[in-house]
Amino acid sequence: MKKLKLLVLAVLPIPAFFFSLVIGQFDIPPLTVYEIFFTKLFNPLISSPWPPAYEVVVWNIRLPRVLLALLVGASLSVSGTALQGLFRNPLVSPYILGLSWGANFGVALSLLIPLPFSPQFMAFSFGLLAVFLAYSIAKVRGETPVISLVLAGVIVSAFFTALQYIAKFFLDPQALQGLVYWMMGGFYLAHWDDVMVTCIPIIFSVVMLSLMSWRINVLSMGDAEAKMMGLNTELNKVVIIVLATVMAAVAVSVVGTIGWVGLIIPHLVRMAVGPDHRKLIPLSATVGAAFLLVADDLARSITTYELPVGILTTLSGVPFFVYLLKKTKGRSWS
Amino acid sequence: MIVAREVKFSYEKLLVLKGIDVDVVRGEVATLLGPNGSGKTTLLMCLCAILKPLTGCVYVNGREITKIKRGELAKMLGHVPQGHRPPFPYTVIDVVVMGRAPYIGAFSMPSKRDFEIAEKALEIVGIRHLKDRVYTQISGGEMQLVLIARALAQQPQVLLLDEPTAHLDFKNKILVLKVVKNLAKKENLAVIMSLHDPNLAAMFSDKVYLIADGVIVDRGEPSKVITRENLKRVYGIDVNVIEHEGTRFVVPVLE
Ligand SMILES: Nc1ncnc2c1ncn2[C@@H]1O[C@H](COP(=O)(O)OP(=O)(O)O)[C@@H](O)[C@H]1O
Ligand SMILES: [Mg+2]
Repeated sequence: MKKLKLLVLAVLPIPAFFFSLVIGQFDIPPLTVYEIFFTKLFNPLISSPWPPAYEVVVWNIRLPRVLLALLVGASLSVSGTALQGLFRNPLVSPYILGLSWGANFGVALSLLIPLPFSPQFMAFSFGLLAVFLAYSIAKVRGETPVISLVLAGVIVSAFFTALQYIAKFFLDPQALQGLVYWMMGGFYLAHWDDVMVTCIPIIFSVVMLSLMSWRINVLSMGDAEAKMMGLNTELNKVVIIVLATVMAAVAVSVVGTIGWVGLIIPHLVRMAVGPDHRKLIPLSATVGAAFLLVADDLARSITTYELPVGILTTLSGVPFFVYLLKKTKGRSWS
Repeated sequence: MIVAREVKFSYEKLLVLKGIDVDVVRGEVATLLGPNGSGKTTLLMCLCAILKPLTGCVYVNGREITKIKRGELAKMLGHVPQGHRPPFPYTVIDVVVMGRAPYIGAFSMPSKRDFEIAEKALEIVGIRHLKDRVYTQISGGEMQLVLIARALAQQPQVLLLDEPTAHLDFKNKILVLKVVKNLAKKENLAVIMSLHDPNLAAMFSDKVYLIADGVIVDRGEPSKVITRENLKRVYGIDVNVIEHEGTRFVVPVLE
């Protein structure tokens, strides 16, 4: 029974994937969709018996979007799980160290002044910059206590929020709207290039954090205890923060700041399989991937006008957390 | 086995340890006895290199502790913390197997053998039956035993325990201290623990360090150290020391 549950959670992205491929405004019979997908996958050179438009929709519009949603969902969830474990705190998300506000400001800046860098690159660099600043502020005498990190994250977020408001003040209305869209996060512009750029860092980080998952168990006992059990806590912390940040920054840079996924999924999976990070990290990847993909399916199909998926994840996240808060009476771990 | 020489330590400007010497060999239980705030926790932290002394040295197995890498030290020395806030609801066996960390690479998982060693450690402290229970849902005494088992899973030669009896009821105090004393003999460990009850110290230690205000006031066999004069000096209260069937009891005088 327990094994079955693990298995189901592990393979969740597969049905989600095939389900999502057939969803879309453009009407294509499901069987044709799968035929196109498998033919292109295994015999890309075969001449197509179906209308070329079908192929473009399935292969160049839906497939990259579906893959990107899987990657980003896995990325934000694993990042959140690793950081919650490291920080021993259930309210930690990938954005705790200022990543999202740094990235927002990066995009605002790129809209404001013409720079030789893409908005994606600016989001990525300023996201990393924000986390680096938070880490440096938190570091006292070679140590970074968790509480200092959290406070430093608040400080850095506030700083970049302020900068972003200044930038916004000078933006023209159209650019401003672009920024707002970006901040809500979504996949409407998903492209094969985005999949290519994100897949390597995200898969690499998921694999590395899965390999380090047992270490995260030990680190979650707190600095002093982890040290007594022989760990170089600072080094471990830096490696985990770097992996968790880079993977989330990559995701944020291509799809914007999608909220709450990195907060909800770690909780959900922990509720389902317990706190052992050896299971938690890999299953956060699969459940997070499936979750964001289905959320995106909803985003692009519940209304004729496409919703930013970030709005859906936030709307589903809020009641979930209210429930969690009531159920655990504020002491929320298990 | 574990030796401290002239250890001084200060938090910012407050000198908390004022030149402390400790010598404990394997098979021996040494107790740091002293009132709250006398520096017991600080001394234990210095003995396991979590805190770095201002001056003075700590030696483990004849080697200076600052020259030993963390990972290697964790194989020689286990520490059972005092203020322990359980984080996630791990199972007992998952907590104990964490003691194997110094033997497991950064990108590896505990092996079957590591789990066997962890189970053995649970058996030694007598709580193998709790193996699959949730760590956050067991009693305080059981939790203390789990943490001792975790330290044992490190397969150390030195065991440090910070107030292992704090917050425990009468029965659990005795149970935990019996386990500790047994470990010293059977597993041939050098044990240093802190207590603030002179009766328990007398019952379970081979050697007592009476500590007050960062200074070792007296040291030696319990019968020599736990005396009216010494306790008056350290705790500032009058006591009678009663001897009953070879065991000494300290009873406060209530005029
Ligand atoms: N982190 C700290 N910063 C400043 N002073 C401390 C700190 N920890 C302990 N102290 C002070 O050091 C003294 C010794 O404390 P401690 O070693 O905890 O004593 P004990 O364990 O014997 O109760 C006390 O006066 C205490 O107030
Ligand atoms: Mg203390």
